[in-house]
Amino acid sequence: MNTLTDTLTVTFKLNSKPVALAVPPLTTLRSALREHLHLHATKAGCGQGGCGSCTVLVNGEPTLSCLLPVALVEGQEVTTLEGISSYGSLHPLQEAFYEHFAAQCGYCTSGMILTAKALLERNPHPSREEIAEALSGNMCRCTGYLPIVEAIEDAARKMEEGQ
Amino acid sequence: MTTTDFFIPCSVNEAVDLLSEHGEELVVMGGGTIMMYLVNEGRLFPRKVMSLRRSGMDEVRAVDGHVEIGAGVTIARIAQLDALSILAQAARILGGPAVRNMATIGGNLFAHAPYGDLGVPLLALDARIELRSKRGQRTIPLEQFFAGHPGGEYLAAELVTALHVPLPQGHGVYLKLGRRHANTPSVVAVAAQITLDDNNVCRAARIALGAASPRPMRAVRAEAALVGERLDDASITAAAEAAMSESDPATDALASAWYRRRMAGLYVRKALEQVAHARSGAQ
Amino acid sequence: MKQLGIVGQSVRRTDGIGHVTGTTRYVDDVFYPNMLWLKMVRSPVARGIIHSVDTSQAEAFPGVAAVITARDVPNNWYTILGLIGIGPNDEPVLADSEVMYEGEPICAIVAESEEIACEAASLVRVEIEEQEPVLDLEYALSPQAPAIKKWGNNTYMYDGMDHRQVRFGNIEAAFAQADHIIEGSYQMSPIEHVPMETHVCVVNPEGDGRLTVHTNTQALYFSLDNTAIILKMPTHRLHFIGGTVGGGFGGKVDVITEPITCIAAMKTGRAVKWRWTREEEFRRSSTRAGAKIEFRDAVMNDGRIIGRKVRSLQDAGAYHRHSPYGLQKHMANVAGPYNIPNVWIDAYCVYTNRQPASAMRGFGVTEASFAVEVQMEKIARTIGIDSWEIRMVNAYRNGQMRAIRKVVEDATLVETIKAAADLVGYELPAHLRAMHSNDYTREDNDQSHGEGAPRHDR
Repeated sequence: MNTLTDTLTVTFKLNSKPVALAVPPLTTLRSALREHLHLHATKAGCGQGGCGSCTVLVNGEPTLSCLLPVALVEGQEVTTLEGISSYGSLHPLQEAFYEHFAAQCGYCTSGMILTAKALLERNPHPSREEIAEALSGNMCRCTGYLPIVEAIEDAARKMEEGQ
Repeated sequence: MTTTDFFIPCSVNEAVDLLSEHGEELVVMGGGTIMMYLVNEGRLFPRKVMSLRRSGMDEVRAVDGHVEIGAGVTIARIAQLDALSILAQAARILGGPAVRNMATIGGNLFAHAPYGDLGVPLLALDARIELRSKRGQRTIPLEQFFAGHPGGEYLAAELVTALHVPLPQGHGVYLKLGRRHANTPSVVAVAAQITLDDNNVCRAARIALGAASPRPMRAVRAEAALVGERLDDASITAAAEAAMSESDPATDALASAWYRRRMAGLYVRKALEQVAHARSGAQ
Repeated sequence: MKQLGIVGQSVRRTDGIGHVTGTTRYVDDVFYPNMLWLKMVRSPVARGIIHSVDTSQAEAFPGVAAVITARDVPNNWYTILGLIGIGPNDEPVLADSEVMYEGEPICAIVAESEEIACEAASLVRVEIEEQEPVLDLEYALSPQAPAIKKWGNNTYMYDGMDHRQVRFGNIEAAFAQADHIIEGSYQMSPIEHVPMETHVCVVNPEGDGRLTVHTNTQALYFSLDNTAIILKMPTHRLHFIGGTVGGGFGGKVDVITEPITCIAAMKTGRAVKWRWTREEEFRRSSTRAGAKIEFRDAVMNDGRIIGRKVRSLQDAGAYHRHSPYGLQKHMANVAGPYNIPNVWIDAYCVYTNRQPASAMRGFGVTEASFAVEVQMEKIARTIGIDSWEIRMVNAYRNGQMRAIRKVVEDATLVETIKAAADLVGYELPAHLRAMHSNDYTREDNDQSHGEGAPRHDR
C-alpha cells in the first residue's frame, strides 16, 4: 500500500539518469519537470490533455504530462526533449525540423518531436497517413502541419540510411 | 493545503477498503484524463485522491462466450480487441494517441456527453458492469448503471471493476461524427449490432447513441422499428426517424441540439445501410 | 553587380535550434526565487451591478499573500487607443461597480502556489445583481435594447456620430440604372486565436524600485506605456522584457496581464507569475470581432458593378479596445478591390455584453474579404457570368478613383488573377487575357459607368 501525505517522494529514471523528488502529492509530471527540475522543453499549452504540448515519453509511450500525477512514474523511464540528444549534437528529427521550418513559434515542437520519435521507433517507414494519425493529439497553430510531416518523412529516411 | 493524500492501492481489495474508509473525501481516478483536467483548470480541489492504475484491474479474459475487461484497461488496448469489433473501432478514434495510452474504459463511463464514447458500443453489445464495495459485488446491465449515474462522479460508494461483454452476433457498425477527423468529442456517435436471418429479416437489433442525450442511450424505438422487419429502405427510414424522436441532445459549443438530433437520424441510417451493404456483399 | 550574401539564399530561423532543442525561453520558463502565483476572480454573468465583493475567506486561506481589488489600481482604466489620443475611458482594469461581460476581471488572489491561488479564488463571494445582457448585433442597435454604455446607446461614437460613413457618387441613381439589384447578408462569428502558449506575465520588483516585467505581449511598447499610465508611474521605472511569443496572431496585443501582475509584485514585494489557463484563453481573452455585413449591389448585365451599398456591424464586445480602429480599416476595404463609381457604406462599431474583441490576422479586412468575395460569387451566379470575368471586369486599375478618395497606383490585381489562372491551369478567354492594370482611361470610364451618372455627388 502506498500512502503519501503532504509531500510525496518519487524516484524514476529521467533521460537515463536517476532522479528523486519530494513534491506535493498531486503534482503533475509536467509541473515536476518544469517547476521542480527546471527542464523547460516540455510546454504547458492547456492542462486539459487536448493540445499535446506537454507530451513526454513514459517507457517510450507518448504521455500527456499535464494529466499524469508524478507519483505514477515511480520506477518508470521518462524521456523529455532534453534527453534525445546531447549538447552540441542534434537528433535527426531535430535536424529535420530545423531544416524544414517545422517550428515557427516553437511551442508545439517538443511534443511533436517526441511523438514522432515514438512513431519512428515502432514504425520506421510511416506513410503520410500514419504520421498524421500519430500526430493527431498534437496541435500546431502556426505551420499548417505540412512542414512537420515533411520533416518527419525526411528524418525517417535519414535514420534508415544511418543504420 | 489542497491535496494531502495520494493513494495508489495495489489490489482491488485495497482500493475498496480505501473507498470505504475515506468515503466522500476520496476522489477516484482512472487514467486521470477527466479528473486532472478539472484540477488543472482550478475547478476541483480534491483533498484525497486514489489512483487505480496499479490496482490490478487491467486484464482482458475470454470467459464462456464473453470477454471480461478490467476497468483499468487502457483505451489503447481496447483498440486492439478485434473480437469486439465495434468497441475496438470506437476506441481507435477516441481522443488522440497519448489520451488512449492513459485513459481507461472504466473512467470513460463517467465522462459527461459529448465525451464518453465507449459507452455507446458497450450498450450495443449488451455489456454488463461489475461493481464492488465493502458490502459485496454485483453485476448489472450497463443501461442501469447509466440511469443511476449522471456522470462526473468522483465520490463513489462502489468501484467499477470490470465490464462483461458478450461476443457479438451478426453485423456491427460504429460511426462517430466530430468536428475534426480525430481528437474530437462527438457531435453524435452511433453503434449498431444487428442480427439478420437468411431472409434478411432482423432477428435482433441493438442501436446505441452517444452525445444524443446526457448519457449514452439505447435507441429502443429505433430497434423496435427493425425487429421482425426486412432490413430495407422502409425499415431503415423508420429506425432513423425513431432515433431522431427519442434522442434528447444538448446544445453546447460543439453543436446545437437541433443539429445533433438530425445527425442522430442520419447516422443511424448510415450505420444500417452499412449493415445492409455488408450483408449483401457477404451473400 | 555586387555579390549578394543573403538575398536569394534560404536562411534558417535564428531561433530554429532553440525551438528544436527546447532551449528557447518563453515567459512561462521564467522563475524567480520565492515567486508567487496569481489567479483572477471573474464575473460569472454577462452583465450586472456589483453589490459586494467578500474576499475575507480567500484572505484567510493559508498560503495567500495578497488580494488585489479595484482600489489597488492607481488609474483604473484600460484604454489602449488612449496612447494615440482616442478615448473614451470605458474599460476598468478591475471591475468596480458593474460587470459588462462574463469573465470580466474583478479581483486577484496572489498565493504561494497556483493550486492555493485557485482554491482561494473559488472562496471569493461576489454579489452581483444580474441585468439583461445584450448579446445580438441587431438587437443592440434596436430601440428595445438596454443601453449598456453611459452615453446612452450601444455604439462607439465617432465625433458625435454612431457610425462611420463612406459616400461616393450617387447610389440611388446607380440603383435606378441597374439591370439587377443583388443583395447578400454575411455573418462571421467571433474567432479565438488559440495560440499554443497562453497569456503569461512575470513581474519582479527590483531593489532600485524598478519593476522587471516579462510578458508575451506582441506589442511591448503598447504594454509598457499603458502600464505606466495605469500605475501612474514614470516609464523609466518599468523594464519590459519581451522575446519569443508562443503564437500571437493578434491575440496578445492587449495590455491585459502586466498592470495587475505589477501591482501584485509591488504589494507583496515578491516576484509574481500570472499564467492563463486554456479556458481563460478561449473564453476570456480577446477574439476577432464577430460581424454582420450586408450588401445591396447595382449590377449591369455585362457584370459591371455600378453601385454598392454596405451596412456593416462589428461586434466589439463589452469594451472597444482596438475595434474603432479595426472598423475604420474594415470600412476602407469592404467595397472590395473593385472599381465601383457609386458607393455608400455605413459601418457600426457595436457594443454587446460579450468578451471584448481585438485584433486578429487581417484585422477588419479579413471579414470584409470573405463577405465581398462570396457576394461576387452570388452576383456571378445570379446574372450568369463566369467567376473570373466578374472579378476582372470590376478589378480596379491604375488611375481610377476609389471610394475612399484615393487614386489607384501600382495596381497588380488583374495580373495576379491572370497568374492564378495559369497556376491552376485555367484557360482565360482572349478578352480577359488582354486586360491589364493600365488599360483604364478617363474617357472609357465616363462611358462605361453610366452615361449621365454624376461622379462625385454627395
